[in-house]
Amino acid sequence: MDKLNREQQPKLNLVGLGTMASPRSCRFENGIKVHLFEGKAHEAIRLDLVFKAGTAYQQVKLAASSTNRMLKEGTKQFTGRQIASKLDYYGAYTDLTATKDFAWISLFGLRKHFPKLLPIYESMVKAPAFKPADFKVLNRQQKHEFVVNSQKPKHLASRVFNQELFGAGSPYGQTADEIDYDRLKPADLADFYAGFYGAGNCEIIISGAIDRATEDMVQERFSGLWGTDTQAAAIAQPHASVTGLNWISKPGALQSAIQMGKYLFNRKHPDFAGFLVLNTVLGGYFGSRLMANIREDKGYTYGIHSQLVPLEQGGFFVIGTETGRDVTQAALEEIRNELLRLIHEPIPEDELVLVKNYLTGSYLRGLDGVYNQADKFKAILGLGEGMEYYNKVIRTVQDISAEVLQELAVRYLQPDSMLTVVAGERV
Amino acid sequence: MIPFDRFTLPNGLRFIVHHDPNTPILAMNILYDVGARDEDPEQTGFAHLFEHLMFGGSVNIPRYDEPLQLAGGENNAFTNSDITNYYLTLPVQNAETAFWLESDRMLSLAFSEKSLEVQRNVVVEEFRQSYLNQPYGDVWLLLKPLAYITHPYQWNTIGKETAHITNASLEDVRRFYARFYNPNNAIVTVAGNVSTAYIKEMAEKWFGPIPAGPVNERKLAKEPEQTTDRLNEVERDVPFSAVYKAWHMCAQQHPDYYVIDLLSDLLGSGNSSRLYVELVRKQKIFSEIGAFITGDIDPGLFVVHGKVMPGVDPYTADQGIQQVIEHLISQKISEAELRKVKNKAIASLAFENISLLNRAMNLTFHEHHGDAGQINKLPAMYAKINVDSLAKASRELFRKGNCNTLIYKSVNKENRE
Repeated sequence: MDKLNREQQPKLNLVGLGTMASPRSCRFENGIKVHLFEGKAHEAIRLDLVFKAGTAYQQVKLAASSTNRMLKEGTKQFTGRQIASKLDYYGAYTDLTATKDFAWISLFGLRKHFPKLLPIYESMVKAPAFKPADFKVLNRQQKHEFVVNSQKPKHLASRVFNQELFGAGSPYGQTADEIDYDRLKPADLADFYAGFYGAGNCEIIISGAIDRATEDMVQERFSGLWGTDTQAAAIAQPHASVTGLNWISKPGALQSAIQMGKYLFNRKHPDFAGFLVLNTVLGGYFGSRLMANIREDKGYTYGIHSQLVPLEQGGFFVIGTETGRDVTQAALEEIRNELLRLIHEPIPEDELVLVKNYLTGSYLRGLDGVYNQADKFKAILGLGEGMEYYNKVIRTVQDISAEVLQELAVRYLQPDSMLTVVAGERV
Repeated sequence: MIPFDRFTLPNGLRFIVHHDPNTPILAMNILYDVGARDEDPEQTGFAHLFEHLMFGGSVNIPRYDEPLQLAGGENNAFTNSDITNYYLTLPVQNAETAFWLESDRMLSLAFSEKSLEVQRNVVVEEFRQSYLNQPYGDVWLLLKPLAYITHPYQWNTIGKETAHITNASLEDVRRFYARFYNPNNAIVTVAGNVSTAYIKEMAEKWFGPIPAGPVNERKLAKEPEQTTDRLNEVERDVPFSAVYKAWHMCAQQHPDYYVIDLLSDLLGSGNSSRLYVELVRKQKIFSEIGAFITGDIDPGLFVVHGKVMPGVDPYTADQGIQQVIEHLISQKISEAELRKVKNKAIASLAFENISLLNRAMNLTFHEHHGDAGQINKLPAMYAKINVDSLAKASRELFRKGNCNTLIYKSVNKENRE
């Protein structure tokens, strides 16, 4: 019907890496580091304040995440309702997140409204009230969310996996129970806030339609002395090596959730970039071996993924999926087979080229717009290396050989070195 | 302003080109005008199952994903009641690979029994993961058939039941493809640092030779006006009772569509919304509550959903919602509150269109609804809405007899505060 050669892929062109744009960085007089990603084409600005105030630092369970989320529930100047009304009035929103390592307070709004938004945001950051009545409402909401989540097999498996992997009492291994919500008091949050929120423990990232006036406004509000002047000391997370299979019984569940993995390393480790390639081959993209085998060939699952999660202290590797309960055992076998295949056989050249190209494309997607760039920067904030880090990683990715990858698989992917947690009905 | 060009190939395939010089990435979005509403009532879930099969290889290309990944690309797709939408991003240097891949699967698929067999299983697992094995996962399986008696919106995209998926045959698949997957039934948007001339050249080269198919004449059963309120009560092993309410609203083309969109924000979006302030903060009968519109092309639903506080009877909680709505209808809405929901809607548009792929998708959707140019008219449309139009739309929407209520009762025996 036409003379086109439709069987032949159009010639691929060399994809230049470009450069990861570095932010413009400076310091306020109080020592806070500020990083600016300017994107003139936009109307919106995102302002992120980040504190070393993640769950790993808390002495009382839930203190870190609840402190973070309480910031918008009322301050010395505004009630929670006023905050919500004002943010909504100017079409802005805030994002409050606590990870294991960091607490984020993000504000997203149109530049033209920033002069009205900043006083509210400043008050949330510097003067939260932690009023018992507001706390009660939020705490109950969070407890309800927790209780609902606890019915989900995936949530159950992740929780136990995390606990076992790091050790239940350790900074990264702690997980809350329902009763911890009942024990939590507003004073716990005030204490946590006093210890970890302040100019001494903060960095600022501004991205989007920044102009001089916005910069000045942020500087005016955050360059003085406020909150703690002490940077949080690094946490001591013991290295763990737990293995074996842990079944959590969930009678009647149609699917089982699987979490399998081990304690590994973070971006500072020399094998990080190599492992990134290895993980992509195994379970890091849609065409991965785990997807090809367990979803596309066997149809056992809607999805299966693996990832290396870097933390400030070390990191962990995890494979996650939900499979039909009748095929859970078979899926576990196939995961094992795929790990062994990476250990016993070098990755064929064409597959390796594909994965390298795919990763190069992902890297470029990270360059698409200032908000993506800022996100990339946020992911490596603790590293203190700047965006050049990514250029280094992608060069390693492009140069790595199948031989080296096999060595990494031998070292890091032995099935018997892994912890497996399954939540579901055992058939 | 989101600039774009438009052209149509002789076979009826429509193209939109959005030029953005500031990105190294190209986005391609393809909409096929087929969704769950086009399905046979005895073969529901088919449009979505078909979406999975689109990745099983086409006539000249045995695997879709591999060449795309080799070109540094990434892709995905989704199906809803109205459309099936495919999208990809890749480095702009390899734009032609996108044309090659997408044109081949518009030309003809390589159907295989094995691929169908596997995707049937994958979709059944998706059904379980998203609807059956989740607390509150079956809400939509209950709510849609309650609200719709004749219109195909009565079933969900995933299908009425897993048996409809497991029964799909290769012959059904072929018929479906022949009927819907034609150039004259699709819209392509390309966004990135590319010229319209180049895209036109690529479009003519790769998509031009694909013959047009039969014109799909859609004759869907119209939903009769609902005149009596409906109620369904179920008991489930979930920790908290929940209330879901759905009212029939206008179609997307109707002038009131964006008015009702604002109304959903006013009632139930964010912590300053009426439902939240009154029922979560003040009365404390819900732990969470929200409202949204389903956003369908044919007349869709305005939905309010909330989790009830333990110890509160869900019917009492439902009355709380009704009181908030009665208050809305009987009292004048203030200019400040109107300003708030407008600001919010307009800012959301700006946030949403930051991503290149979102711009490509939104241009496609608006073109599908009639005119891609609508994307640039939305802020002005929101701006001209006034309190009287809100009041009128809310009286019409919340009229007696138009409501469907699902009481989702927790049988969990544990006592919680």
